[in-house]
Amino acid sequence: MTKSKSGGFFKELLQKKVFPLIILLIVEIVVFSLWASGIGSKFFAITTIRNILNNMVFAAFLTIGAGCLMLSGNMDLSASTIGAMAGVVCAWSVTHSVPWYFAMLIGIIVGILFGLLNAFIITKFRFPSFIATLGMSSVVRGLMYFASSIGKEDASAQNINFTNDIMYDIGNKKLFSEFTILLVIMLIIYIIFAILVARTKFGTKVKMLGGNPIAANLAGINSKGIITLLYVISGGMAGIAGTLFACKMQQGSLQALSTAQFTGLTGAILGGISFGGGEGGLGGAFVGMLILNTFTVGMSVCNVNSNLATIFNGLLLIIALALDFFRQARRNKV
Amino acid sequence: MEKTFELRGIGKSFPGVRALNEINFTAKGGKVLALLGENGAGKSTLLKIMNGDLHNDEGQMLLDGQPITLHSPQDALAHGISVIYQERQLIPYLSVMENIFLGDLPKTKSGLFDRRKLIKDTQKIIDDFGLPIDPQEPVGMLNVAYQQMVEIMKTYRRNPDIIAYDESTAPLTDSEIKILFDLIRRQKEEGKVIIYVSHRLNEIFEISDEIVVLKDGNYVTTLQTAQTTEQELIKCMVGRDIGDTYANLKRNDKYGDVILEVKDLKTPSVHDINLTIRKGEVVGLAGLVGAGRTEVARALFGADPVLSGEILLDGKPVHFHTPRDAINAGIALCPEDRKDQGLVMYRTIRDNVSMPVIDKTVKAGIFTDEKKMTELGENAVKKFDIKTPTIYKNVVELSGGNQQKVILGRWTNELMDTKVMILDEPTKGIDVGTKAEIYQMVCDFAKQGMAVIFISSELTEVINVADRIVVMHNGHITGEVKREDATEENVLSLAMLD
Amino acid sequence: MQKKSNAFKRFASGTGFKLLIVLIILIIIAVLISSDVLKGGSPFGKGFFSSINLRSLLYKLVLPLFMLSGLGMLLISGNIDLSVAAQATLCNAFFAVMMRDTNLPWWVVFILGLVLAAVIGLLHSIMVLKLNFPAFIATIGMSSVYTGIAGWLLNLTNVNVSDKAFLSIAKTTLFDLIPLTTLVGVLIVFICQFVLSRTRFGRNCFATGGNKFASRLAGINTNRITTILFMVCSVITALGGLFYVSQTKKADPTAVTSSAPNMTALSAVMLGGVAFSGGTGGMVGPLIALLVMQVLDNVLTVIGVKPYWNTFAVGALLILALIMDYLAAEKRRKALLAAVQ
Repeated sequence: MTKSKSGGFFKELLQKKVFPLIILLIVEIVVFSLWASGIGSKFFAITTIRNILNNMVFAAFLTIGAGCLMLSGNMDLSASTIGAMAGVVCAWSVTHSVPWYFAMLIGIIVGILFGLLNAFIITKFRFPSFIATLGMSSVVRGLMYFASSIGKEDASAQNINFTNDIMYDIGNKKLFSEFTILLVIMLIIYIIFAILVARTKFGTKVKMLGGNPIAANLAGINSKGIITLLYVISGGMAGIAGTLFACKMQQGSLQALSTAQFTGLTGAILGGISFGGGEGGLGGAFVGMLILNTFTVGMSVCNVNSNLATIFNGLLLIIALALDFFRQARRNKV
Repeated sequence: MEKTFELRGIGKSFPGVRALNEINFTAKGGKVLALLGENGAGKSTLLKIMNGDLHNDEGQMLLDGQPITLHSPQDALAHGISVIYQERQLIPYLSVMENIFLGDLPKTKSGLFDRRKLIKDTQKIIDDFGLPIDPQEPVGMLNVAYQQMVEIMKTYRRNPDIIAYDESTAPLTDSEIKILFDLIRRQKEEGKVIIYVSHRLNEIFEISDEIVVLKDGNYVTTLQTAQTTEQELIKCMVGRDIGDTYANLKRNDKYGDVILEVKDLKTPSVHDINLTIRKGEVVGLAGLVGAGRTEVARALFGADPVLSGEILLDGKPVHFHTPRDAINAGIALCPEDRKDQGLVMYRTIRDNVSMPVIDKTVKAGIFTDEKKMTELGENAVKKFDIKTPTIYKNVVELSGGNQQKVILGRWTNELMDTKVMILDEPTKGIDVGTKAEIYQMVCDFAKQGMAVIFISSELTEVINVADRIVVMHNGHITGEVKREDATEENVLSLAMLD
Repeated sequence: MQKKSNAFKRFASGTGFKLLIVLIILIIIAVLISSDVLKGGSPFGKGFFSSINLRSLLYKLVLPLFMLSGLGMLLISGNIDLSVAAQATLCNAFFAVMMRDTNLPWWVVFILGLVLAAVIGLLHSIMVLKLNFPAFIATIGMSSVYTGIAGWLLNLTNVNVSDKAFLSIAKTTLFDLIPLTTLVGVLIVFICQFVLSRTRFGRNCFATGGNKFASRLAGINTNRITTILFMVCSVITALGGLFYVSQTKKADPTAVTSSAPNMTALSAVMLGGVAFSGGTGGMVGPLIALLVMQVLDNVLTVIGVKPYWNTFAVGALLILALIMDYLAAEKRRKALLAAVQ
């Protein structure tokens, strides 16, 4: 069975879920550019692209975890909280004379450890991941508040501030005068995982697991192992995101990453990853996030009322679903 | 006036496929009409049209001489037509009685749900069947055979005039089949029109009066049951004389060393299991539904825990904690439920074939070797004659027989070194022609030196394919019979007694 | 093969029963710690059973309680609506703005608010049934839409409501202790339970959630059931929301969504025995589960534990409940295996 030539290639591209999304992205860019120039702003510029990409960084880490998990038919609702916890622990370490590289490492390890905990309760007790991670979210949040209050006389939970030049640089310095180090780090890690999912045996196993966990198990795919790995990835990515966020803000913030969770999940869904269908990949999720963030930046460039922006944000998801619906309808008619 | 249900010129097309073409026959009240045909002959499509689930493109259906058009299953029910599908349509958490009276729950004078009347009415039906089922029991807690009986009761309570049974006996044991056939005979006496679809020729000869044969969407012929033979039927269905399915089987007669020894195996569901199997042997595992055969298979495969006892592979004791361990050691299992447990339906033939060897189809350690996977897929399609234009088709689109072949292909691809092949009900729901192919494949496995464990509830099949038959009942082995000595009676008696 | 169905009934109500025990233990602990009963005083003077505390606890129940009924029934029928908090915010905003900008009597605006909710429910059912949107994702999306509209209506600030008659709704209490609003909420839960277990519509809800295809084959109009349930859920939610406005005397663009009563309600529904996949459960279990969650929250506050331990405790409780449920299911499975021998 040979792959068809160029005519067939385009037809295949058309079939892929990503195609209408790329169209949506292009339409978005065009609309915003025209709109912005209409009111005297500039949209289509390097600065905007910079804003879009830089804003995406933290959500992107969470999308890696969310996307992989969704492919296997699971989810992690505790990711953003784990990330915030990692940031708090990192900040706490720095304020207690731990060298910066250790503090960051500890942050990431915190993420991995909670990922392991999630994996344990989900594989051992076979909980539906929705409930289990929902519960863990509360547990981690409570622990985080507690951790932030250690050492304070009034034992109240607060953000932990610190100053560390190296970490500040990591979180804020720009390369090539427009794109931050964070962005580069994120892109590298993202591409690595996108390849892992699309082209390695790990990715294949995840997709088969998502398609039919029982059959996968009976065909020798180690479901417990893969799920554990997936949650470790989710927790680890959250840990990285939280630690980097702390670097950037020079603060272990209790509210960190709260919107990133939604963006991450929505981006993945928008990008065509269906729950447990084993369809889709991280590439699509990236486009999904681009669409979302282009939107947010576009809205602010065009000075749109924040309420309208919120409304349109929600509508984006609906539009993505509608696109999917029309594509399925067309496919069934053929 | 006797009831009649006529199909006149029924045609149905799907994109690229002419599923039914000019189907003409009449089913008469008080008679059982068997509908016979290979998978893909159009039987399910025809039944769906009868049930209002699909609309015919050409032709018409006539009920008692009057043309009818059915827009939905509700329409069919309103006309007194009821089809019992092969897949059970039960609601597991709801009680037996709520399932039987689904959509028609009785109400009290005040409009509320009349629980007491429901219990009474359901008990009456259950008593008519003579089965020990509790009406208030959640249906999901019943075993598969009783669930099927509940499905049949669902139709029974509607008292339809025209009933179609689609492979209803597949999950039933002989005692339930007897109850079903008694029911069908009563329905005959009441003048109902009965259409009976089954692959089991012995049942067709027992219960039907007339047989309609379909082939590739076309009507072939109508035969009177009393005047035809199995040979003739198969010839009509398949268009070729495959002779006696079993007589032409090329079996293996060279056995090697003992490859698998099971000593005093005990699991939560079976006990005192002792087996010794040689390379090249086909050992049948017979018994009624619930005897524990699948449980033995799963324990050998590492899918269920072992409480005590030993398993020796090639003389060495082995402990499998997961199926992966068993697969690495060379044991393969084709599960009983190929759709829910064997295949990932919305993935391609290619993906499903290479599932156990994902770790081996790699380049540079982690990257998937696409070429190798394609090779594995294509070889499996060729070797097992899987009818598909491409290995990139999702297995959900294949017929049951081809799906089973995909699973067989999976365990025998060239990166696997299967020493013991366990097949659990491999021919369930598969047409006669493909069954014969699978029987030969089983014998070919034996010729290649594999030890084969062949689990089946169909006595004829297990007696004729296996070299010796181990019989189980109630979680333990009750006896063993060699093929030469085996008859359906002595195997059945071992399966039913302690 | 004869199985005593009573045994299973006992199992099924086991979740509710277990939760009731937990609730009672919690309350006992609360009274012991927070009141003067150990010192020989009355258990009703201060602490948990003090009228101040009880009243505040019961008022806090209102929002999640109303969402509980709607979400519970939706989940049983195999659907979900994650936007209920945003819906409440929107209906509240609508009410407050209408009260401010028009001269319509409060009960007219009230009814209009409920009508708005019904329209939202209808919209959701169209999305799920006709457009085949997965309910999970579609309602997450619409959540933003409703929040945005509410924010726009309210201009992102609180809008006060001062109609005396309307405000008196929340002030009405029984025995000066139990708010009318909470009572209505509990009543609605019991009405839903009644419908589920004693009406044919209710049984058909279970059927739809258990096996939609089989239900349709049997002639059950699953689309009608789904539509009705979406609308009922939205209306009940809006009712709770409007009662909340009566309580707080204002419509707030972020208060409802930030305390996430929909997640509390959803957790309570699942803790209470309704499976995420639908087809099973009841309303009493979730009600007790909600009480447990709120009482625990209250107990911890009364004891004086730092508020973040609340969050921790709720999450830990959820996980513990799931573990217990798993162990019970394992026991049941082993018993079933034994019975089949």
